[in-house]
Amino acid sequence: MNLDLKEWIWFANLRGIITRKKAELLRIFDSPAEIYKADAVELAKTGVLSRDNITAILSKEYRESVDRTIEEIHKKHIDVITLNSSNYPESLKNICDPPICLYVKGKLIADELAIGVVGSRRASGYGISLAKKISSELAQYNICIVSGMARGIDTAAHLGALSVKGRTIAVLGCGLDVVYPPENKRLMENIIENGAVISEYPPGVEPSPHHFPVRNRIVSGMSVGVLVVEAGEKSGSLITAHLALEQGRDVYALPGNVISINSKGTNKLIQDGAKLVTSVQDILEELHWYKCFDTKNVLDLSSYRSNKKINDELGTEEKDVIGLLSVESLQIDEIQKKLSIEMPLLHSILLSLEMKGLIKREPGGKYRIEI
Amino acid sequence: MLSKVYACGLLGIDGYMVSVETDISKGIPAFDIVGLGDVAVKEAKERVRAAIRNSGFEFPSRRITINLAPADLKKEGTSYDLPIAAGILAATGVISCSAISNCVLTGELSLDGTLRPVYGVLPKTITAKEKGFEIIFTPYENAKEASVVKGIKVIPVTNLSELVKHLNGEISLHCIEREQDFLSDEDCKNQPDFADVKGQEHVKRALEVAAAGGHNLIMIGSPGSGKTMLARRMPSILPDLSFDEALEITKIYSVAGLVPPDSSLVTKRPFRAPHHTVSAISLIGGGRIPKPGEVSLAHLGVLFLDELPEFGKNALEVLRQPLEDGFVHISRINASITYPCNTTLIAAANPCRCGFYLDDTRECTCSQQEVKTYLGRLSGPLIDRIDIQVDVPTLKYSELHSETASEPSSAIRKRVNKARNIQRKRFSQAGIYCNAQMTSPMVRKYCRLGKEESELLREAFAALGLTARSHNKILKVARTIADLDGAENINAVHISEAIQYRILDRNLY
Repeated sequence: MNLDLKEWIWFANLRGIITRKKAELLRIFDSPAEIYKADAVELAKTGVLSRDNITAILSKEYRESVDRTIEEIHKKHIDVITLNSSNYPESLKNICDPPICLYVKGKLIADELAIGVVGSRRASGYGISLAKKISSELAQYNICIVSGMARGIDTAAHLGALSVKGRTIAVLGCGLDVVYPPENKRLMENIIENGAVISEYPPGVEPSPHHFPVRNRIVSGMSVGVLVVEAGEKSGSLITAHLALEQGRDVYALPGNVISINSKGTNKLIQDGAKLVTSVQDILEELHWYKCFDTKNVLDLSSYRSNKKINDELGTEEKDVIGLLSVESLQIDEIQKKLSIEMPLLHSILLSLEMKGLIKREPGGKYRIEI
Repeated sequence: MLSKVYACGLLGIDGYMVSVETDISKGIPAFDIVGLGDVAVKEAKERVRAAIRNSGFEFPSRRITINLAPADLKKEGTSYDLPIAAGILAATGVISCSAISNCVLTGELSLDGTLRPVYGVLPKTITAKEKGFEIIFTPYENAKEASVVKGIKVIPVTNLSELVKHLNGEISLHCIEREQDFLSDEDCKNQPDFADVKGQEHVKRALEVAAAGGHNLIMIGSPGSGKTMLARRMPSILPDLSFDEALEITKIYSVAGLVPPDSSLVTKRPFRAPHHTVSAISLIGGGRIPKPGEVSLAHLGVLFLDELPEFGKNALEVLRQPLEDGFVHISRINASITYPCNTTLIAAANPCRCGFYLDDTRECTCSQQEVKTYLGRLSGPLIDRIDIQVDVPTLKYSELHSETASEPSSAIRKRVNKARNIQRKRFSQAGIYCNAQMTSPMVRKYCRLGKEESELLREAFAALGLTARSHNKILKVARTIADLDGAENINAVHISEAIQYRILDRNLY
C-alpha cells in the first residue's frame, strides 16, 4: 500500500478546491505529503490558491477526518488507487482534471480498451434492447463497457456486457457503500465480480444531483469513445458527450425515431457530427488506432431480420406481423386493423412470436421487434 | 281493549313479520312503545298522536301500550307509524279488528295524516305474501314497487282517514295492477352501447370474455384512454336480466331506499362507480343501522372502481372476502345480516401517479421507482381475484374519427348469452353458474388440456416469467374463451389469448 495514502485521501477530500487546481498543485509540489507539510506562506506563493483554499488546507477538520475514511475503506474492503499508482487507468490520467483518488471495488486494469455507453434513465424499449445488444457485442471483442449504473440505458449496458461475461466498469456518483439506485444491488455485485465499481467519492457520501455531471467526466475519461444510445433534449448523457469531446474522445450516437422524445438528443448529436452507429462495426473501425478487430462476422443491426434463420419457420400470418413490427412498434389494435386477423387468433400469434423471442410486449399493449 | 295488526320488519334484504299489539287500559294517560324500537320508532308516538287527531279521530286519553313482537329484534325506521296508528284505532273501536286481520300495513305518517314513502317495501311484500296475508297497504309512492309480487293485493293509500273509510266499507280503494311488461327492450336501448366506442378492439374483446365468464377485470391505461367509457358499457353486454334476478336487485335497492318512486322493478343491471375516497363500510355495507354497501348495490351488475390504487388500503382489504363469497355478512349483537353481492368487478388504474407513463405524446414526471410502487400497491390479495388484466392505450386522433362502425352491444350480448348457457348447463349440478366461480377441483375437471396445450402453457410460464398464481386463472379464462368459441375442448388459441390477459404477472411495468 501507498505509504502516503493518508495524505492522498486528505488531499482528495479537500473541498472548495476544484480538481483542476489540485492537479496544478500536484505539479508544483511533488506529492500531497509536501502540501500537507507546507505552511501558509509556501501555499500562498503558488499563486493558484485563494484564502479560503489555504484555510481549508491548513484546517484540522480535514486532517482529522482522514482516519475515519481510512477505517471505513478497510472495513468495507474498498481499494484506493491514487493518481500516482501504477494501476491508475492510463486514459483517465490524461484528462485535465483526473480524480485524485479512486475508490475501487473489483479489479481495475490500467491500460484497458474501454467504451462508455450512456443514455437516458427513462429509456424506451428500443434504447434498452439496443444498449444491451451493442454492449454485449463490444464486450465479446474484449472491450470494457464503462457506464454509470443508473437506471435505463446504463443498467442495460452493464447487463449486456455481463451477459457475455465481458468486463464492465460502473462509475458511481456516490460512495461505494451506497447502492444507488437501490434496485441495482444485485447488478452491482455482478459488476464487481466481472470488472469494477469505482467512485471518486469516499464511502458514506450519498448521491446528490451535482455529483453526476462530475462523475460523467470519469466515464468518458476512462473510455476511448462514448456511445450515446438514447438521450432526451436535456439529458445528462449529452453532458457526457460534450465532456468526451473536450477530452478528445470519440462520440458515437445511435439514431432514433425523429419524433421520439428519447432520441431528440442523440439525433442532435449526429447532426453536430457524432458518428452515427448502425452496427458495432461502426465503433470497431474507429478503434483501429488501438487494436485491429476482425469484423467479418459483425452483422448490421438492421439486417437482423433477413438473417434470422427462424424466419423460414414462421407461418404467413406470423411473417406479416413481423413485417409490420419491423417498421414501427404497434398497438395490438393497430396490428389487427392492418392485417384484419380475428382478435383471438392475433393474440395467439403474438404470444407465439413472443415466446420465440422475436417480438417483445411492452407495457401499454405495444409490441416491438426484439433484437 | 286489545288489538293486533301486522307490520313487516327488515333483516338484511329479507323481511320478517312483526305483530303490532295495542293495549289501551285505564290509568294515568301514557303512550309507550316497547319492542326494541330505535329513535325513529319512539318518535312515532308524536306523529301518530297528531295524525290521528288531525284525521278527525279522537286520540284516547288513557294508558296506551304498544308491543312490537317479536320483542327481541331491533326495529328500525318510520314504517311502523301506520300500523301503530291503525292498532290504536282498532283498539278504540274506530275500525274493526277483523277487517285488518289479514292485512299488512306499512308507511310513515306525517302530522296531517298523509302517508309518506318508506324503504324496503318489496321484501316486505314478498314476506307478507309468503306468510299468507292477502292485502298489503302501502304509501302511494311505494305501491308500484310492491305490485310486482304475485299473489297479494297491493292497495296504495294516501292518508289515514282514507284507510279508515276503506276498512269500514265506506269507500273502496283500488288495488294496483301488476305491470306485465317489466323487462322491456326499451331499457336495454337506453343503455350506453359499445357501438359508440371507436377502436380499443382488444379491450372490448377482453370485456366480452369477462362478461361471458363472470371474470373480474382490470384496465391499465393513461387518463383519457377511455377506461371509464368502456366500463360503463359493460352492463350492456352482460346476459339478459331474468325476472328473479331483477327481483333480487330490486330487493337490495328497496332496502337501501334507492328504488325511484313510481317505478316497479330495477330493470337494468346496476353499474356502481364509487369514488376512491369511499369508506370501507360504504363499500361493503354495514353501519349503525345496517345498509347494503356499493358492492351489494352492484349485485348482478358491475362494480367499477376507477383509480384502483387510490382507494384506501382498508377499503380494498374488506372487498376481498365478499368478492370471493358472493355475499357480505354483517354481524351485530342480536342479528347477523347477509347481503348478496355477486358482482363483476371492473377496475381501472393509471400506470403511474401522473398517468402518462405509457403515453407517447405526454411526458411522464414519475421516477422509475414511483412507477414500480404505484402498481405494486395493487399486487396482492385483491389482484388475486382479478382474472383479466388489459392495457388500454391512448387512441390516436385518426382512430377517434374513423368511419368504421363498431359492433353494437346487442351482438356481443348474443355471444355472451350463448357462452353463459353452455356454462349453466355444465354447472347445473355444481351449484355455481359461471366459469369465474370454479374451485380448484372444478378447474381440474372442466379445464383439461391436451398434450400440445399443456406444453404451450408450460413453455409460456417459463418464457414469460408468469407466477404460479396465474395458472388457474389462465385456465378459467381459457375455458370461457372456448365457451365463446362454442368449443368443447380448450385449444392452443384459447390458452394463448388467456395468457395475454395476465400483464401484471409478467413484470412488464
